Amino acid sequence: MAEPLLRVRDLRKHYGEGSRAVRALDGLTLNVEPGETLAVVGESGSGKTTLANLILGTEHPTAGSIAFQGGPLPAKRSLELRRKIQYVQQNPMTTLNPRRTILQSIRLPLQTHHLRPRAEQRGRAAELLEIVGMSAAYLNRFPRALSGGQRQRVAIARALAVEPTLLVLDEPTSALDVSVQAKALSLLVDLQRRFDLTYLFITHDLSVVRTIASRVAVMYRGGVVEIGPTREVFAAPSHPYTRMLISSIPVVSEAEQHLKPAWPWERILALGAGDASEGCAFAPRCPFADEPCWREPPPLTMVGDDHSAACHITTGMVVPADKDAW
Amino acid sequence: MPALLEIDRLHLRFRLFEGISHVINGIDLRVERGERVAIVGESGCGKSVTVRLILGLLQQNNVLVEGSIRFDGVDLLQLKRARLREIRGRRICAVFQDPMASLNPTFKVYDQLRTVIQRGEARRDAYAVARAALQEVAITDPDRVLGAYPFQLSGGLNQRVLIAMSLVNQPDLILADEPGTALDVTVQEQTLLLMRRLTEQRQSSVLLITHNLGVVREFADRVYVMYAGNIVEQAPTPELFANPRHPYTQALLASVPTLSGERLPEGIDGMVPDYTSPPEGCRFHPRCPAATSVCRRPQPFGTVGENHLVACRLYRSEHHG
Repeated sequence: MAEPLLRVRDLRKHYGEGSRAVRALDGLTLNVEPGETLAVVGESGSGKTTLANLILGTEHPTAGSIAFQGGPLPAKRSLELRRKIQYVQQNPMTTLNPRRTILQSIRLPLQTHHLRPRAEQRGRAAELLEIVGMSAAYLNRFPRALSGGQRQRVAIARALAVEPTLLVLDEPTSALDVSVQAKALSLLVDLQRRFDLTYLFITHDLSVVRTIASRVAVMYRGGVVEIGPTREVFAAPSHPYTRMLISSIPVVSEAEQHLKPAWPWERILALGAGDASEGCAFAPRCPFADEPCWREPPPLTMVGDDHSAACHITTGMVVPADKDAW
Repeated sequence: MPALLEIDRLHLRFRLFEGISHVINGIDLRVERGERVAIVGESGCGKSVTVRLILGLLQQNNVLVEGSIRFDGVDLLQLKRARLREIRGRRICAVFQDPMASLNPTFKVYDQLRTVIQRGEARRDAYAVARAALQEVAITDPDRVLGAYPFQLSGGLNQRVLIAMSLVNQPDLILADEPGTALDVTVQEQTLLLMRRLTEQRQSSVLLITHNLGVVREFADRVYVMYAGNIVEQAPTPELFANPRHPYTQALLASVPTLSGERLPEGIDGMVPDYTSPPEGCRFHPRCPAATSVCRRPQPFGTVGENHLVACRLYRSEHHG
């Protein structure tokens, strides 16, 4: 296999010191291959956004390494590295400066990276708007005159202005209505093909992942608990947390309902709190947790082609008592 | 016997600097006793203000309301505030989107639950009632939760506290505005499961407000689809999902990402209209692939199946038109 575009090894980010430290990332390892869309899925507090910040260089890791195109990402990034890795954030209402016109917002990265002479910037900005499906008439407007979906398109246009290699998308569609989200997803798929982009797509919503990601990494409490090709992870989820996530997606047809794994919701409600400081972080919420789960954290183990999960059920140390629920 | 909740010809207008914003454009809606009804629509369609109107929380000078909201035969819009307060919190309760925003961070859970319990029939042992209410929402250590401040509990636990709070006075009607959506998907699923189970046991009616069609399918008996202040389609839930008729309902369904991943969701072109100058007739027509000049006139409901009504020219036979 070719060199991965992004290579993350045993990445740690702790806030605070000693036993009271918040371990936002706790030994995260993953690769992002050139041209793919890797979805990073997890609930709030799982460390998704911390991962984005570390890749973008706005925060620095406590330990571990990130390599980009074969070379380590330094704390102080060159202009070239900053150009290659671009970012689209979640909230379309706060992503654009309200006192700048759309033209000013899109032109800024062109100026920062010395990409076009001043005379060509307006034309390039118009071209970028057209690429994201908006007319050049918006160039002189302010963000307040735009809908959430349009603002998100502008944010994408601004990221594309510098011709990046990797786009870190942090919940890019979560604040949008479903009909607008659908349009934004199609746009992202289309742009990826056109400009040979690689996406790191961060989301808490597993349902959007299936149609757009080639691979998916499921995060829980600062680590990857399952990673593999999207098709496989959805067809045969191997970690209980992945199963729980997929089974909690509300679907709109009977056929889709059958694609969801069984999950013992009633038993989840009755689970009490437990101390997971030694073992698997998911044990307190896991209906299948057994003695080994409380004792030692499960390693990430291969369960299929390019598909791994970190669970004692897959290592064979725990056998689920309730076969039907599993 | 009349339905528990009957909304007739309801209009809501806001007087704004830009002009009059016509946010709800004459909706009719029924909730029968023991029935779970959903209103589904996207942001800005008027679903949340409908709930606020029912609760009497929109009494501002710039709000103009027409029509009636009858609860158990009494028009809530005509009630004095004191009479409304007797109904609200006892016979009608609400669960909102974000539990952290609904609970007061400076009071312990028990203190907040007690004030609700005391609004019901005078009860001597509020603590025992509160404890039992938390156990019903599957909280295994009610004493710890009752003695905690909301910020000491997880979002999921707070959400369950709110459900317990909304049910403790055995209300006839629960208004649920996107319950749990501010939290993680797994919590949302648990919230719906609990609400469904508990309201079924008590035969309470629920009016659920949501933007999520999947949630509607799992929770509601009957559904109203709302677009830009109008109800465009209404049907029993299985019927709506089997035979969606209005172009907006169809487009909304096609926008939902699929688990099979066979196709990309489609989405809808254009955007929700400005309510100070909404489109004439069917408000969806500027975005509708099936629109003709006929759509510039108001579209009355036509029946397309049992209890299945659609406000669209496509389903009206000519001699009625």
